[in-house]
Amino acid sequence: MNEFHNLLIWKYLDGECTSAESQQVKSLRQNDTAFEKTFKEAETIHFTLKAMQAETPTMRFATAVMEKTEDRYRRPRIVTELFSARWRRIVLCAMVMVLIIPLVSTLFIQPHGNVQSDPLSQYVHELPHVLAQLAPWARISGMIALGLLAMLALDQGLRRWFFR
Amino acid sequence: MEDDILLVRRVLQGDRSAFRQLVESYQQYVFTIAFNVLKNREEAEEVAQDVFLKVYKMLGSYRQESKFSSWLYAVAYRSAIDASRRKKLLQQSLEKDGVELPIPDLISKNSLENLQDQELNTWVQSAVQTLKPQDATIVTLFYLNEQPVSEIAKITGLSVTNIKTKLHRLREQLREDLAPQYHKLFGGVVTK
Repeated sequence: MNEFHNLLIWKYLDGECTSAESQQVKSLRQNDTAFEKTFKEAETIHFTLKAMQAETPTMRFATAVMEKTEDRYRRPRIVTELFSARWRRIVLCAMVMVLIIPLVSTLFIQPHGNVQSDPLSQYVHELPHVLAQLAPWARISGMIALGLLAMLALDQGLRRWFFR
Repeated sequence: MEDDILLVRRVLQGDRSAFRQLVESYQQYVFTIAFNVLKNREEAEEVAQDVFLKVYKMLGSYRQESKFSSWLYAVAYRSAIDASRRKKLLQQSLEKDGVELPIPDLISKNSLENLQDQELNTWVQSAVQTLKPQDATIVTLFYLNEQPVSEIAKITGLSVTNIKTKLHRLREQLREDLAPQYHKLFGGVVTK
């Protein structure tokens, strides 16, 4: 028995075989005794696992849960998202723009004429100058975008923490 | 799924009897997931109750994009793993990293010769319980809860390929472990 045949058997039992593969299984079962033996073993395991019973908790399980919900919690609140998926995309795009425009302008415009070999250090070096040259509206919009991004991150973080 | 969503809506409107229906529908599955991870009935029951309390509290955040059962099982699995970590049970089970399945205590090797269908079921169920928490959960979700591989991947946080590989390895291991007993029992012909 090779690994391919083993995979084929489980695929067949899971009902995922194509018609050609199903034919191959039938043919192998008739002509290959080792395959037939493995198939029977796998089939038995498969149907035994399918017949597996769920574990049963104590009789008072549901009642205990209901009592606890009565004690501890009131009616569940409907949680609305702070930002819709559409707004999240808009804010992320704005942030990308805010970060990319100075990077591109620094790398390609070369305002001070000095060429630096390392683009990252050049970007870090030039960033304050570029930010200083930005129009006030651009700085304000950048700050708003940063604020929104921070709120978005906080929203996502708290959501994951609470609803994990 | 439709029924579950209707029940969820009723719970959100304040109908507590709808929540009881959800609990009664899923209590065995949630308990089984917790039991497979924790290997202890009392702890599993406690965790399963906490799962339903947690679900009740955060039902308003349930987006109906995924099946309610998948969402519930994901909460159950994570809660059980958290509880297991707290008790350092997970660390112990990770030390037993080998894939070899021990023969369950319920049936000795000698008595396996006398396996009948019912005993075979017991053997397999016990073998599943001796698996590592994650492996037992995968097998349980696939066979007992009849979850597709893609849903199991979401519940456990593993990739679909990883789930398929693990499932194949586990089933092959079960088959190989049980093969000698089949042939003693059925004389080479398994009639199922």
